[in-house]
Amino acid sequence: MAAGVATWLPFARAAAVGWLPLAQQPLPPAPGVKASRGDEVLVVNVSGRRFETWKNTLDRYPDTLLGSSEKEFFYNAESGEYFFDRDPDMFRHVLNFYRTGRLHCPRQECIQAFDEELAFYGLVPELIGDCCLEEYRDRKKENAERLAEDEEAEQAGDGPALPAGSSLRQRLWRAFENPHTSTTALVFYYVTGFFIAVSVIANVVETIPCRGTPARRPPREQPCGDRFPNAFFCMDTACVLIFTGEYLLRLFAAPSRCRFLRSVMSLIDIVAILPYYIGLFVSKKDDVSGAFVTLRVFRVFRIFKFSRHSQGLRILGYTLKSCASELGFLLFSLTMAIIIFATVMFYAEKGTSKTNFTSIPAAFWYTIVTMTTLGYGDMVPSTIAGKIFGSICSLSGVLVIALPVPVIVSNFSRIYHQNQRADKRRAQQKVRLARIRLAKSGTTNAFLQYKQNGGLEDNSSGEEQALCVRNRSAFEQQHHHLLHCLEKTTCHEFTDELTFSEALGTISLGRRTSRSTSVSSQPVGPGSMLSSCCPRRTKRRAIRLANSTASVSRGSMQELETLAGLQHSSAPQSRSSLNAKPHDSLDLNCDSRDFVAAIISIPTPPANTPDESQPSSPGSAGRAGNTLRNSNLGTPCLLPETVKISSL
Amino acid sequence: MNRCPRRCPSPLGLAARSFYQLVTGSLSPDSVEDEFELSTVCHRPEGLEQLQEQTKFTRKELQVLYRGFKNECPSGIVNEENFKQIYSQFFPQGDSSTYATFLFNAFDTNHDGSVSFEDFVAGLSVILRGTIDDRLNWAFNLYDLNKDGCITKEEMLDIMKSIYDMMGKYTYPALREEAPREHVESFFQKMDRNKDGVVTIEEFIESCQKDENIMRSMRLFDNVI
Repeated sequence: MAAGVATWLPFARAAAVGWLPLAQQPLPPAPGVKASRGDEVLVVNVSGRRFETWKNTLDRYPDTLLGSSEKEFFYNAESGEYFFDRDPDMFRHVLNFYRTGRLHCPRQECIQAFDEELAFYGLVPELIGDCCLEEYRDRKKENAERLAEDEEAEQAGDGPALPAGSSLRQRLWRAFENPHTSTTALVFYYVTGFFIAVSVIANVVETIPCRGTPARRPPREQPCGDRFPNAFFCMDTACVLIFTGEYLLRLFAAPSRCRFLRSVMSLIDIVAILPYYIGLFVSKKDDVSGAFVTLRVFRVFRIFKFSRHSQGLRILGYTLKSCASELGFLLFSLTMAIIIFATVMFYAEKGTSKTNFTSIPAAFWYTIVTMTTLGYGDMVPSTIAGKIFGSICSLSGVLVIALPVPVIVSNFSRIYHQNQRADKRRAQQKVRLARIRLAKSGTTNAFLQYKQNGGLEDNSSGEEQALCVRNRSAFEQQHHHLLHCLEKTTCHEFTDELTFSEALGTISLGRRTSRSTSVSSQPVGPGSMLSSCCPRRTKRRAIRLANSTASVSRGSMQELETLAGLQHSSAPQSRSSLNAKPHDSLDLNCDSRDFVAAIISIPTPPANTPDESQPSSPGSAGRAGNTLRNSNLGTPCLLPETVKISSL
Repeated sequence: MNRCPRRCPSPLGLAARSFYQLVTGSLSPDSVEDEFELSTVCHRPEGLEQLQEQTKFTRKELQVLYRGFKNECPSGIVNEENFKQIYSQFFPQGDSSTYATFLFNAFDTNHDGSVSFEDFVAGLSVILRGTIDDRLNWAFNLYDLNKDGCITKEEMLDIMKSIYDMMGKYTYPALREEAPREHVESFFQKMDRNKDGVVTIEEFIESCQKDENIMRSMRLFDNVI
């Protein structure tokens, strides 16, 4: 539990006096914790250095080594102290945690050693206070990474071992993803790389003008592609065949074909080989040959296939993607500036004859060239106004271009690091919240577990109580007693979410069916247990129970089965699992509605409900021990309206 | 002509000042530094002998109590926020803040907004070591929210709702809206002798003394400390 809660528990228990006059059921007796022997000073000897502290201090955290009975294992009777053969310097921090509630991380110690000490004393690293937590995590991560690198370097030769019975598909995929695993994969990797290079070079060389055939006069220059069409065609075919084969193999080997089809690399592959096939099926007619020529442009995308081979390209792609908004803003601001200046220049140069500035879009080119300080000189202003605005344009161009670029660079760097840290923190936060929730639910679950284990039964049957019930710490016992008092005060019980939603699901039906069966009948299920807070009324209720069981139990059975629809079919007397009975409200004003609480795992025949004359003893009712949730109020003053649960 | 004093600036001046603050980034008030001042207030309780006289605890018990108290609240006092936080740790499922407020007001006998060690120990002494009548008195004081000597139905309803809030959402049977109200009705039926709609301290004590369960349960908490 959190810091110092144990200190406040007596106060919380004392404050429960405020519930006493309101409680409608008698409160349970307090746990018979043996009176503490007052506060004593314990001596803890850690490798010769003696630490002394109050026993209460150590008792604050009962789920650690020093706070629980585990420390008895280390008790040295002759010297009357607890001896630990551990590092005394580290123990100082551990003991300070008990004293102050905050665990600090020593800066000069090795993180691993500190971790080991924490593990020994039963402290979780999440208890480290906020002041030291960041540093602890950073150092721990550094350590982990360094160790991982060392391991990787060792394992450089051999890749991850494949499970023995892996299929061809898995082996193939692994070969594709990690070419270093086998020689064949490596060979394949290099071969494809070579062919990508060959293909790209061929594309480039194709357009270089070769000397024309000497037969023609005058020698006409042609691109090499037209000079040696067959050679280039063969080379192209070979490359495309290899690429196609590789793509099909990858498609076959991919563990998730849909995902593979959607991935970027596969798209690049398709774009790389598709033009060839389209070109095959399109004949060389003039009308479409223009489109065909355009398709050839896409062959250049084969160069992107290199990104499988190069980590750097992939990183670049990722960074561009993550910096997209910044780039977009740069583009937008540039566009604004271009439009403004183009308009100005156009109107400034409108008057002159034979001017290049024929339209505003034509002036765009001038603006771009001027702003990026290229200055080709194909368009120059001739009027004075044009020259003035032109110079303003070039000056501002410097600013507009130069300013966002460092911003983008620094933005990128900042965003990248921030993302990394934010992800880290989010993951840690989730874990922390989960732990906190776990601790909270752990408390509740401990209580629910305690109830379910029959811990609420009379203490008279102490020997039969489950071991786990007895082994709770004094703190837990008292806390559970406190929660139990609250339950008694309000006549409601703590449950967990699951059972609550189940109960809720059947309640709404319960009301409907109960009204539909008979006005005076009270819904009672097999083995239901009434615990009411109005003793006078229950007698009458029990009588009505006996009359109405048949129809009602059927009704309630049906509710258990169908959560929707109200067909009143005859329900089989099947086992009902732990659904709450359709209970009516706990009406403390003693009107005609009943409070039925039933936890069943065993159905009972309808004839089971007793007549009023025999109030079942609490003990027998409590023997619904095989019920999962036991709303058995096992206190001696249980009001006599419990319906017996008899097992089949 | 009077110069407009500094304290009532013209709207223009106000706008100018906020603009200036916006530009220089000092728009939000600095609350962090202010808090530092408050937390250094320290409160020391009276001496051990005096507390021994005033309460029914033994010396050792007072020592243990104070050590725990001082450890948790080094400044010597508990304010309402801390109190609520501490109390909520015992009831993780529900919302105990309202009831904690009522408790805080019951402990804070001099109504200065904080519970010092003397208040704390005085309250505990009544609950744990006082006579039955003392404890009933204390409970009555807890219920009587406006401390006027009688409990009305509204006060009782508030108290009841706060107690039911502590149960949380996941209860069995599910909490209905009318449950606190019905509980209040039954309480008044039991306690309000003359049916005038309020419960006075005499009626309260008298009715409680007649109730076996309550009398017996009062003994439950004797050995808490």
